[in-house]
Amino acid sequence: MSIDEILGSSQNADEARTRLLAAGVNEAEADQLVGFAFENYEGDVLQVKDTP
Amino acid sequence: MTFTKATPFQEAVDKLGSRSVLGSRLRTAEWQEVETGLTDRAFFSAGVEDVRFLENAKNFLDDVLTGARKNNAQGQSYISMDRSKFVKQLQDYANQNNIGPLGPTPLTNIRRQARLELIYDTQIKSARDYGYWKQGQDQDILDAFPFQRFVRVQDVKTPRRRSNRFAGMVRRKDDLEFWTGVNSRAEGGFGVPWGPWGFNSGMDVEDVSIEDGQALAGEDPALADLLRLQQPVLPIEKEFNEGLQASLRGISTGGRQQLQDYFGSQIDITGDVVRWMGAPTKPVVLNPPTIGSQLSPVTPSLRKAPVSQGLNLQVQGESLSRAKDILTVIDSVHDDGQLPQIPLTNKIARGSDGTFTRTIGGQPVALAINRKRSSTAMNSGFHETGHFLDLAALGSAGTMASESHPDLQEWRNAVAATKAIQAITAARRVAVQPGHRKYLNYLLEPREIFARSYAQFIAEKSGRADLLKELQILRTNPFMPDTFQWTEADFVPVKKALEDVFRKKGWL
Repeated sequence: MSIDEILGSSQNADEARTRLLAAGVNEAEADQLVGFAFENYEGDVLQVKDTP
Repeated sequence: MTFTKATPFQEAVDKLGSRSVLGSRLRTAEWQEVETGLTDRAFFSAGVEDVRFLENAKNFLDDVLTGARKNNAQGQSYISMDRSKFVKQLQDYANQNNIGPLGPTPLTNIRRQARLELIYDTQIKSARDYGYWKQGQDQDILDAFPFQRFVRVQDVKTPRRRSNRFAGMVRRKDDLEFWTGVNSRAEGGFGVPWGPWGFNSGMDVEDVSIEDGQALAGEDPALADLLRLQQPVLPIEKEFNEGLQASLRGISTGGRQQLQDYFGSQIDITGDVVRWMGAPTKPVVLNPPTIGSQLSPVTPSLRKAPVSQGLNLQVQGESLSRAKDILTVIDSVHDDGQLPQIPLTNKIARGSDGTFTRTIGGQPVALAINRKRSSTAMNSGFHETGHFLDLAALGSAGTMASESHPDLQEWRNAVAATKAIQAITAARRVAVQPGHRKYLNYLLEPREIFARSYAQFIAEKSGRADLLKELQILRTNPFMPDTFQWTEADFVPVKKALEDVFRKKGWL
């Protein structure tokens, strides 16, 4: 099974995370994969408006 | 002449001061291979990797040798450092900062009194004995006292066989082979022609005059041959230094790189041989981070512009200890030019282990680390700091230098050629699940590649075992192994490119 398949066939973030970890993916990558796939994660660099 | 205060033994002070602090993951067996040339010039303690701990120890010992004094509240002067204060202050620092190793015996646990007293006794005696030896290298003194005798000055529980073998022997002071043999590293010595003659050794040397040498030679023809009375005894420090070389057989690439990083042009590594090339330069001394809490800085600084000064620590507890550790490691590796100061907080974006916040216009806002410590938390701290440097210090302030700044072109070429980036690029071509594709696109953004490479650069340059282990954890992905962080071999050109950039900027 591939990452595509795990993410595509999981019902929610928790299930996907559990399956990725069970497959041996390290925790940091598993969290980010789940974040991008299920939680509108945009990465670790946040952009905010400039203060006038 | 009346002395109004204690006069420092300058040769001893100089000896300690000339030692570069080397926080090392090398264990004793590896150091045995590196041998005298470097270990005599490095201030280290087996297994201790915390550079600031070692720097503190070295500064405290320097205070002892210089007889440093402070004034109390009543204005009375007192000696600021002694053996008991040395032990207590380093124990406190080690406890507060979780410093190891914490082996099962008193001598393998860096927080135990016996280990710290051994460091104190050995380093003080080493500096002083070198000082005596160095003073004895003056030609006038060599003419009057050309020989020395190896003698026991203190009873010990179990004398070394080596000590018994050489006890009472008289030899020329310039018989380098004999004196380094007496202090042989193969038999627990330090490999130098001065004391101490092993840990907790009760042996020492005493001068023998030309007259006494002549009398001894008259009684013993074999000794007369060894003392060669007709040949003047000459200084040997130059000869000793020039002969310093050591085998690096069995030392890992990381270990060799660490030696090169710390000693720089003072050593030359060719094949499996490292040679001592010149006098040590100023040791690395770290800056304390700016701390927005109750903890006080630990050591003074010689770094001109450390990264730690760009962060105002607004975290508590374990997060504060971790933030200090992150910045201590970074400060030990490089300077950063001038960074604006931003807060370091625990306010991370949901789903991340660390966050760097900037404005759309390019102003850095904050750096955050997860309150809950993950198994790769240090790497995450380096990674976010990499974003901060990318935006605010590496190129033109306000733009990510990793994206297009010409100074980073070699770095861009280097990362593009790595197996890791090529594997991620190949995976992106075939990925179909939208979240997976977004993740792979994210991994290939220049700023993310830079932050990952910076984190690995810091970890590898530090040589700390726990940081290298974090890299190994992050390489673990059965679907795309060795992609989030590069293998050590794959990373070599990237590391060199970063070194070139940092050197060019005067940060290394």
